[in-house]
Amino acid sequence: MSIFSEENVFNDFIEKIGKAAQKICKDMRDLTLLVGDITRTSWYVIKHPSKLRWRDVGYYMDLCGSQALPIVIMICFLMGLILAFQAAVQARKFGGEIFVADAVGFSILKELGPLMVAMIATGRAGSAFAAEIGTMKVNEEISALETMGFSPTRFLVIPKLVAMLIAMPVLTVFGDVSGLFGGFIVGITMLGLPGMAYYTRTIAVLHPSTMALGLIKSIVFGILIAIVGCLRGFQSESDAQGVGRSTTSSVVTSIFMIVIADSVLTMLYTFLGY
Amino acid sequence: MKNNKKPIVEVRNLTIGYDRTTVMEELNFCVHTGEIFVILGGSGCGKSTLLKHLIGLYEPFRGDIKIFGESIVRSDEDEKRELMRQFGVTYQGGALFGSLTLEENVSLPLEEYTTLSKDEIKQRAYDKLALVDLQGYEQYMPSEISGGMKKRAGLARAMALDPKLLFFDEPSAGLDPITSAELDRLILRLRKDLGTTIVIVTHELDSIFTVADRVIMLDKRTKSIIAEGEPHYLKKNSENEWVRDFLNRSNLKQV
Amino acid sequence: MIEANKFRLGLFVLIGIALFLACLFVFGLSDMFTKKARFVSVFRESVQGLNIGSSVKYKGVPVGTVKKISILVDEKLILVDMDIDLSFFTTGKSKVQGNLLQKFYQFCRSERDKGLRCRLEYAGITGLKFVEIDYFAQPGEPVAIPRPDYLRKDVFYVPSSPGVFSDILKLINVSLERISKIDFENISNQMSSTLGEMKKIVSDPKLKKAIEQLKNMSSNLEKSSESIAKVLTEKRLRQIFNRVEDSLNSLDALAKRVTSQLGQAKLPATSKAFREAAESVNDTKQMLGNTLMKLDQAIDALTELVNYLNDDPSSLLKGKKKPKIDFPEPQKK
Repeated sequence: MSIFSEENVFNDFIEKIGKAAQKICKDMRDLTLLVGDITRTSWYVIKHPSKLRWRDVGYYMDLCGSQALPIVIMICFLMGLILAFQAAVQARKFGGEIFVADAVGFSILKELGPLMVAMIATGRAGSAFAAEIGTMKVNEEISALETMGFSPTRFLVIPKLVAMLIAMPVLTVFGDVSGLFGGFIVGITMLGLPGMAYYTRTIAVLHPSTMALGLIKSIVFGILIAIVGCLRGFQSESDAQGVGRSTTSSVVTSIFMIVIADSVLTMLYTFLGY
Repeated sequence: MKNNKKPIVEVRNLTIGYDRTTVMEELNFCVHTGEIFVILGGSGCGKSTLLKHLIGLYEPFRGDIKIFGESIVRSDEDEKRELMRQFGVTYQGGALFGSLTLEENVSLPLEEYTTLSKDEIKQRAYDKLALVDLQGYEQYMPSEISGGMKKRAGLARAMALDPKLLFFDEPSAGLDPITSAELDRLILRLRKDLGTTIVIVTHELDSIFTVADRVIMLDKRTKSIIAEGEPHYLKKNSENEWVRDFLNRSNLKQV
Repeated sequence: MIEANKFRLGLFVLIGIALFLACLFVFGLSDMFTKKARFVSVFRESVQGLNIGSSVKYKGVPVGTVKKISILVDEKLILVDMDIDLSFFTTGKSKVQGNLLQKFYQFCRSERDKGLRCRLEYAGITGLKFVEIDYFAQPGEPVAIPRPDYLRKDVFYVPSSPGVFSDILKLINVSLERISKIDFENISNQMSSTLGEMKKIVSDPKLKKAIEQLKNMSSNLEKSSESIAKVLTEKRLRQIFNRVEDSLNSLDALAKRVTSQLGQAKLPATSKAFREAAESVNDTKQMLGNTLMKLDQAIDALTELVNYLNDDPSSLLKGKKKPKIDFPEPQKK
């Protein structure tokens, strides 16, 4: 008789589903609690701005913003380049080379700029948040904060959240500009378009609102990254492997949530007619 | 000493555990003002869990814990936080904030809860660090100092607001006997100088006989307190043979 | 505390904000600071392909964009609002005095009288359209759609001129409509019945008989006329006349005598009448020949027509085939 009797496999399967469901429910509950706490604490911080740890905000802005700038500029520039290259191959068939400017402009500003920046920020900031809070948990620093009567949310989450709220749109602006520049390079070299024509076409089809929509996306992504990173940190088990798992989980969950949020926002924009 | 002082910590019918596992059932004990109270037990018997309940980090299954006469179980979050502010906790590893210097670690509660000026806060932090023999280390980061120093720095932070009650989680764990003995002396000095009530969770027998006024002993199997009293008395006169053995083993070691 | 690199952070935020503002400015916030005129036009045709933001060109110069497209419900017309950037129009002089906008509207009004119109044009092959403003009408030509009277005072109304494509489409539509009205079935029915009848007539034995009879008649006539001609040769006539003259002479003598005796006799009149009768017989013979010839030709033509119709009934519609013209065939690639 095999040890993998049919009954066992079936029961295991059911059990796995049950456990997964339980985990999802727990995640949702924790997320809701955290968001509730963040909302409550935010209100408190808005009323008492001096209670916000501005030094921490600066530190995280530096970590997630200015330190991420080189990679953001490089990746977005390459994205613009690749995008223009691909669009050029298609547009050439119809003699519509100039429409590469449209393709690059809209894709970068509305979609890829915020998305790429969010992916980089997830890798840099989201994982750092989860690892930091997880390690603090291992060292009982979270307990210490609590028993000192401090709200861990105010001390650990709000500074990260505020930093991300500021750093993400700024990073996205850099990403947008470098992406457009990447498209421009392909336009004037590979397609042989006059630089002025490409530039004029780009500014003719793009509107301030196009950029604003992308920036709104980036703000939403920033909030998601900060919240998911912190949540996974708080959920971390109190050992080194647990911190590692929570870091991985924070990146995976963040990317998943970002893509979901991106779809929802894109649909919403379309629905609202933008 | 036992009966003429009012209890500062009062535990009534406390049943604790985590997830669905019950660790301790129907605990009843009091900690009196000014005494050094030790919670003793073998590894994994649930003494750390009990401590976390006492300081309000975990919710008990049943029963009540009153600190300074107020229930920490039935209070809402703000009341709980208010209550927590009035006692200090020193964790096993010190639990210092890794991104702050020792001075900043000690200053943190002062900055949050007092209206003192920056200079006053700085002075206060230096004083507290001096109290635990860490003068000269004010600008060090926690990662730059030893384990014993971390514990003392943690103590200094716990003492920052001059609490009437201090909880110690395994003060001598991971320390060499000499450093451990130094810490014991520090604890005694704190009580003597400041009159602080101290609750210690430990399994180190050496320090018990040095510092403890009163001991409760937890048992894993019965999930209850199996002995309560003055350690030297228990060592000789406990009704429970296991308790006597446990306490006497220390003597064997010492010899 | 591990501090942030404040200089780097400050630089990051400041440059970011500066870039953001620069982008906003470049992408169109600069529009807010340029002077604009509002043009309005009304189209009867579909504006499919025209969007908000489509460009408006004056003789090919992109001078503005479409701001709003709305439908006038009562008239079923499309109202298109356009923003025109004044900075594109220059006089060459250094500075225009007075209210620039008023001056511009004045210029536009005079140009409208000279035939300034707008119309939709295709922008490339994608089906997108733009509004072209140019002199599509003759100077002084009345506008097709008058300015709706509820338009705001401060807008300039540019009458629209139907697009090139809409003209062609209209023509094709009208032609197709007319063609569709022709009752081809009836025509073919009538034609076939006509042809049937014709066939019947042509194949009718009576006609053949009649033609034969006519032929016989004509040959009889010819014979009789020939015999008449034989009878009435000149010689004989002359003989006759000579004899008659002789007799007449004798008669004359007699007559003279008789006249003298009888007074009056009517012999000359009698001879004249006789001559006349002979002439008329000759005429009749010629006319009959002509008639028969014509009849013969008519029958030939009829036969030819019937044969032709039999071969190609559609020629009733098209007329006779024209000689084939060789068009140069399009070169195949």
